[in-house]
Amino acid sequence: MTEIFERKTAQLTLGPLDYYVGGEAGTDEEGKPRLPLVMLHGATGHLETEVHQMLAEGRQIFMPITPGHDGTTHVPGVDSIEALAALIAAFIVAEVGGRCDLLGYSLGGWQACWIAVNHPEVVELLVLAGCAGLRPDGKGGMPKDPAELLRQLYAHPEKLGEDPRSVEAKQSNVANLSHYNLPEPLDQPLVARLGEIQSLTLILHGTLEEIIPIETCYILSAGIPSHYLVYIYDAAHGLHVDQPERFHDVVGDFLNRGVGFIVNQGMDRAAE
Amino acid sequence: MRFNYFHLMPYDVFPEKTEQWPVDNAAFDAETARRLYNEYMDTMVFAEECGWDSIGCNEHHFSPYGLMSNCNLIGSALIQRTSRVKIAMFGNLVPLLNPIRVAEEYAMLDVISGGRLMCGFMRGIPHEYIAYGIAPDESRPRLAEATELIRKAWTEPAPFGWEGEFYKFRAVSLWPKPMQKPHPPILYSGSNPDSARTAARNRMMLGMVFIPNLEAGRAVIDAYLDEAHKCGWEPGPEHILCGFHTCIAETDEAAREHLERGVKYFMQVLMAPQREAQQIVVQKSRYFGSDGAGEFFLHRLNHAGTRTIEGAIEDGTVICGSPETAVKQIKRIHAELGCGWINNNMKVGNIPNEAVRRGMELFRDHVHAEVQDLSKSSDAMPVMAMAGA
Repeated sequence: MTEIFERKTAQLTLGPLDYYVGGEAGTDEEGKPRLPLVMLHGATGHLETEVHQMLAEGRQIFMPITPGHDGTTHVPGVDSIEALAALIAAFIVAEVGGRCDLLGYSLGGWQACWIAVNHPEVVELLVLAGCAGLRPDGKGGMPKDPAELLRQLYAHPEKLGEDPRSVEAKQSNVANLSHYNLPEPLDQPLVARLGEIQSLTLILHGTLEEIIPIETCYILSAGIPSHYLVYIYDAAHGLHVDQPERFHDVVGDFLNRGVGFIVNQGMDRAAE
Repeated sequence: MRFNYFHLMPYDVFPEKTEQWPVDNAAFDAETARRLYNEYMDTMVFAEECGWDSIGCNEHHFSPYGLMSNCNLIGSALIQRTSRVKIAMFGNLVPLLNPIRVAEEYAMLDVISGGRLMCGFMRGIPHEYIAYGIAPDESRPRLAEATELIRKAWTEPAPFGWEGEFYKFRAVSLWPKPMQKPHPPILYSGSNPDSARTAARNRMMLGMVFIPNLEAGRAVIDAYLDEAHKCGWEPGPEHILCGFHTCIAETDEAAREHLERGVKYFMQVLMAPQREAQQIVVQKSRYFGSDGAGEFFLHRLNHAGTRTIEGAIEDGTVICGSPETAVKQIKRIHAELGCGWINNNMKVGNIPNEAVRRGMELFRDHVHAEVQDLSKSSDAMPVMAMAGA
């Protein structure tokens, strides 16, 4: 895979935040500059995939690393999901230009929800893929057994290629979540405030998903005023790994055309 | 034991044998077809009076073999003229169609009928893929994806989108949704073990036709039951439907004479064009998997017409004879296959419609009461739970 993302450190008021950045800013169909895309990773940490590269074509992408993950240090005072959201919002203001499209995967989806709730001014379009934090009755969840976890993460693990992260590194990242006192499995305060999300939101769920229950989608759908729910066929929790083209097609369309993404433009227009 | 009255709706005055497919439609006469449609629908409505539990038909294209390019249209007409029987659409050729359209039409039929729909999700026979320009190799993955999509369309509580291999719909919200919850019973065609296992994995009814003998049929059912067990559920007789050419007359001899003539016309005239087309598809594509199902299909196709009625009766693959004989044959089928449904195709080839109706009267007066209690466990209609499906 081509190395197009560069690792940097942002010096924020609250403390340092490591992130990856790559891609070149492009323009939309009307010639206006596209907003940058901020992508928030899942519990096992940052993982660059084919999808990141595809989305980076014509779009600048920022991928902050959750403090304490992947060898980074914690940021003083950032010890809750809302504080984490505030940190990312500050990052968007300081490094991304103040407003972005926001895509959160799993744990990142949970953070993204809180960013959209508490800091709506920094989010244009919102994408929630396999969103964590909203599991009623304790349904779903990450299995502890590594083999079972791998099975539930990927329906097509062969597409992952060689995972650059060691098992220990991923386990360390998952253990780091305890620092944030996450109100698992169901973040009731967030459920109560989903209606405050102003961004047009795309909710993605794999048809083979087991870690995040289907009920999460129904909670998000019932709460977020303006949203679309799309199922990615033949994908488990790691839906961008299992079905990169489908993930890119629907997310790219959504980011490029907003609500217009529901209209099939045909092969000729799509290729433009 | 429950019985489905099935009608293929053949154009039974097609004049001569042709092996060319698609069949030249120069000989098609609309007035004749109009008469046939009405006669056939009258017959199907009559089946309700004669005790059948469901009436149904299926979808075929480009051939006098069957005049139902969209069986749902016939189903809609039958709903208006019946009140008790289930409407068995066995069924739509799902991989050839827009699955959202299938979901919508089936939902309409279920609502209009007050929840009487049973629906088949059929892969079809190979030559149908030429008719609709779909690659036969894609038949199984299309059916798998469409099945999941249709179930979602029926059961999702709110609008959703679908990003799949063959189907992409960004915003789906059915009006109407089915009346039966979570959705109408679904039947998969499974005349070989591989397809039967697919039906089991999807928690669907198994529909089996044209079995070469009861032992082979039993092997298919065993594959279905074994796979279902592995998937954590136990189908009952009510989940298994077996199809048979059925001819009942006053005497065994009369029934054999009718069926022999009808089968001969069916095999030599109506089936001839698609036999060649099917061979081409099977040989030039991966319509069947690598488990020998293709060879099995071709063998069955090429030898079906060579079998005598006596041989078929001996093998238990037809129901043919006087009412007393038919009762014995049905009991044998039930004992050996354990199915809770029998699919009766009585309009075989060009058997006269009067003879078909007479057979139905005999079924009503002398057969039904003797066999309806064979499967006590089949009282409940199969409800296909979504969990784990």
